[in-house]
Amino acid sequence: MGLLSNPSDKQLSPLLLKFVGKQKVLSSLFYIGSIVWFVCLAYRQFNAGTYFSENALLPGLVHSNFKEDFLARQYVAAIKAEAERYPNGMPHAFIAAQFKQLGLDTFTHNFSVKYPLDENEVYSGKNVYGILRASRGASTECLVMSVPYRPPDSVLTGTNAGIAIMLSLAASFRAASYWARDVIFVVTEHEQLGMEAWLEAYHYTSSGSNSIDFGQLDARAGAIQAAINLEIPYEKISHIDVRMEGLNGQLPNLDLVNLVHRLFQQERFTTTLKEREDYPDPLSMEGWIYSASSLLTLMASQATGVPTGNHGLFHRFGIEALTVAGSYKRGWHGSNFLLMGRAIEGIMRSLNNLQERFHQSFFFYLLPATNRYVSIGVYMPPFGLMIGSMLLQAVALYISRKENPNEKQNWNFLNLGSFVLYSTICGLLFYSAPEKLTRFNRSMALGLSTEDVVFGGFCMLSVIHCILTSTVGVRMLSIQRLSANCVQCAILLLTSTLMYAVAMGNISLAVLTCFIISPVFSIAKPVSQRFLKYCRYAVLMLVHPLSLLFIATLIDTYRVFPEEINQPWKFFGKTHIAAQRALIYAVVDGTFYGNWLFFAVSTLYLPLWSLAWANLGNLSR
Amino acid sequence: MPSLWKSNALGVIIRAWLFNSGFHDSLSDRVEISTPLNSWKRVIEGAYLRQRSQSPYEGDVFHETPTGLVFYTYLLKLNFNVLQAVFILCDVLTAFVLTEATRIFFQDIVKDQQNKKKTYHKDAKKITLKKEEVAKVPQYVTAAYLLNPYIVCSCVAMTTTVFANLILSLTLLAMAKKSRLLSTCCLAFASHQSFYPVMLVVPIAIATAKEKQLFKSVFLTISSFALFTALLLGFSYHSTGSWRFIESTYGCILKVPDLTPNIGLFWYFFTEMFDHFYLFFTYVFQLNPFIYVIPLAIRFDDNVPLLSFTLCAIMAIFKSYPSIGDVGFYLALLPLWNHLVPYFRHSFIVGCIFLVTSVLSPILWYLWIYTGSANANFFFATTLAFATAQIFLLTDVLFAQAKYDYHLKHGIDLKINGKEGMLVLE
Repeated sequence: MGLLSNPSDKQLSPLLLKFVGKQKVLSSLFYIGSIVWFVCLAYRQFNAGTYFSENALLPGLVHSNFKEDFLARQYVAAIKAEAERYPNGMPHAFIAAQFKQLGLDTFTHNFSVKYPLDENEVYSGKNVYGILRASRGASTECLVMSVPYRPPDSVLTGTNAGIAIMLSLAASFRAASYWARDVIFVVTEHEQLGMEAWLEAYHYTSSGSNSIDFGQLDARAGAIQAAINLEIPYEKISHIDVRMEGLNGQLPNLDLVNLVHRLFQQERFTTTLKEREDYPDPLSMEGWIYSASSLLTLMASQATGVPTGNHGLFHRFGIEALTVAGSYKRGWHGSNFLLMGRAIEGIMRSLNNLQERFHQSFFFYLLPATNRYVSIGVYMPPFGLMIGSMLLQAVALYISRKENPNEKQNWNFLNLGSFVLYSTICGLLFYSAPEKLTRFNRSMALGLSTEDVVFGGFCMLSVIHCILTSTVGVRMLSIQRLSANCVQCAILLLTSTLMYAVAMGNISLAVLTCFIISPVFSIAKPVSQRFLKYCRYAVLMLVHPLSLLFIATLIDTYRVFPEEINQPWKFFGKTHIAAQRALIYAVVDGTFYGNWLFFAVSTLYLPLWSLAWANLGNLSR
Repeated sequence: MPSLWKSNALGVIIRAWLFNSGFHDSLSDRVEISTPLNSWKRVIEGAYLRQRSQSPYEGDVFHETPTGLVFYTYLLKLNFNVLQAVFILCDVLTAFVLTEATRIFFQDIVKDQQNKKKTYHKDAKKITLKKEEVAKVPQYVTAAYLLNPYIVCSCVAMTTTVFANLILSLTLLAMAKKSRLLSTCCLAFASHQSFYPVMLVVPIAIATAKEKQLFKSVFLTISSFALFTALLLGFSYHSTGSWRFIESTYGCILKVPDLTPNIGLFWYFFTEMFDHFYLFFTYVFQLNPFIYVIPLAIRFDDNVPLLSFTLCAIMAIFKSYPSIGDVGFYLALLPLWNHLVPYFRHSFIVGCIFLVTSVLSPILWYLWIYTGSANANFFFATTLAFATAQIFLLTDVLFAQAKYDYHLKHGIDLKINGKEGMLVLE
């Protein structure tokens, strides 16, 4: 109990003081070390090979019965013919009729969606679903197979083959007697909105802020255990991309991911991660770089918190789900419906074997290749090091407060209260701004587009916010005579807490944000040299949420259209439009699906940033 | 006192805003705030059953006392907005009562120091308390109560801890005023509702004790407490017509049948427990908070404020169904130990742990219950860290007081033969 009962005041061992004296070197070492460590994780020697943790899955142990590939081919033709009659909509009646003909319990689900930024814009849609009642179950558990319907006019690649294979699988499953769980086949409209509405109706709860009127479902089939979402554009498929990033960066259980990879590979498909095949020689230098960039691509897409397919919406209901997206690359061996059907049948039968919900294996992991994984226990130490670099600085600042005792300086964290209150209110204003701005636009009949109003409004608000913070905010700090070191210590502590909290749900977001803001926030205190001061202001400006958004879209635009960098004006125009859209999507995703990125950035990150901004002008050093 | 008004107004505004923005529903479902003993939903259920003239104690939902039930039945007749106002008002009242109590406590401490001045070292002047500070400290207490996020959440979630805290603060005030009758009466109410405050009878006995007739005074205190308790129990019996409520209220507190997770240490331990050890460990866990009472009373018999603060903290840490409303209550009393801050050793770490656990516990709860990707251990880890932080804080206060006392007697300088000395505990 020496820790609690040691009564000495003249604390601080000399070792600790030495440690603190070297904090600058140490914290930069921590920072660099953590990045190096992270990059190392992608190397084969530092991560582990995937394996099945849940024995009940018994992957690939059953004899495949699927031979309805001829049916699938007929369905493709029929759907194509039917779809051409509805260039914008979905042929509900046709799909429902097909389900009925197969003898499934077939229902149509109506839903309507209110656009959050304009109450007058209401869209409606219909999902069709059929339930295959299990002969050996009591309808208390089920599996879901879903396909988003895409009309011919859609810019996205079609999914007609997916519907065809689903229907033929349903026909095959109908005849089997081994189903212990019901299987629900869903065809959804309006991409993720339809899926979200269906899931909300299934669970009879809203996860966003009620802008989806999810309507009623006529029948259910118990708790959903797992779901597979199919995005198959055509019959001839060479590559299967397994997409797992869900809403808010949640991932499905690793066992499910492994299962899908294994069974598709067994049927001689090439499975990919973020549309990248595994490198043939992973132990080489090139292999390392290759898997590191795969890892980075995965992390970047996980960090946005936007689902990469309809599967991402299942996760928040505690359902393991992923999307299987097929594609054909020239020069590769293309497979047909038979193999595809056998692979999916194998997956469904493995899921049918499950004794209980997925609980083994990992929920928190990163993948550098399709068959390698980095578990939470492996990626947390480097992340801890990254956080540690900030914490170390905070502790050092706290300990050094006694070194030059200055009567004028205040080290009471509670005095930050007024500033925190101010910045939180600002954050809440930003959070509610999009709705207010668009309403203002409509009521004043300005006639501007939603994107322009929201983005322009945000830019203006940010300028006002910056000016306000560097005048009123700075005064707030100065009146209390808060030491700049104290404020910085608070910033570092709050940032590391926030980052740690984010890491619990979305490690990629936490790592990438930490990577960017940790060095910036560690210089967020006033300097006497004017030039250095403006440099610091400029650097801090770069990590303003809007700048970060712009930079992120800039990089993304460059990746999508690398050739347009030669025409800077056009390129920036494109980026500008993309940034506007990204902002709107962030706002809308928050209200539709409960994506918390916009909320967190405006009410948590922005106040922290403004604290740093104000501290640059803090007069009491 | 202008800043007092500011903090009051701000506290009220924050509460009213939270009520109006619909935070009541989400907050009242949080396990950190609402426990089986204090949740408002259960009160509504109990009052409804009573109205249907069914005994609310037959089921396993309602655990408030019959006395409380009568009171809540009246409250529930109010309009919802008025009800919210009542909750806010109670919080403001508690803050004022606590402020008054700390003012008197602080005066006592200052007076006590002046009386003992002769026994102090000549250097001690630097660290003795000045009269100017007396005016300041109570203000901090008001702010610490009204702006305490734990208390705010507890109020907006409409937990009955709001009333428990009010009664507890009245007990402290009566104790500070050294009124035996009032303090035992309030204590009887407090312990009637949540049992654990029973241990506060010790500081009351010390506060009201007279030098000459020590035994008589202690006897009087205990017997008047017993009398009030008996009256309350009698009233409860009369209003329900049976003793069944004992099992549902005190039985629930002591036997811990409901293992819904909360911020305490009981639930995880007892879910893991084999049935035949259950009884034994219930005894162990329930004796734990009471074990500290006598040693602390012996050590700090001349410092009633510290003793009652410590006991409040011990209750909040070790009781069977703690909520953050209980934690916030004793945290609001911390400004009373402002003069001990230089002797704190762990304040930074404790502050950090409080911050981190408060942020992480809802997230880990979400990951465990909603998305199913984490498990109970994650949430338990935060509650364990939270309890550890509280224990660190408490021992820090106690040791700081001990060090402070030492410095008062032996001076600030610890030089032995010209070298820096070091305090060692033996």
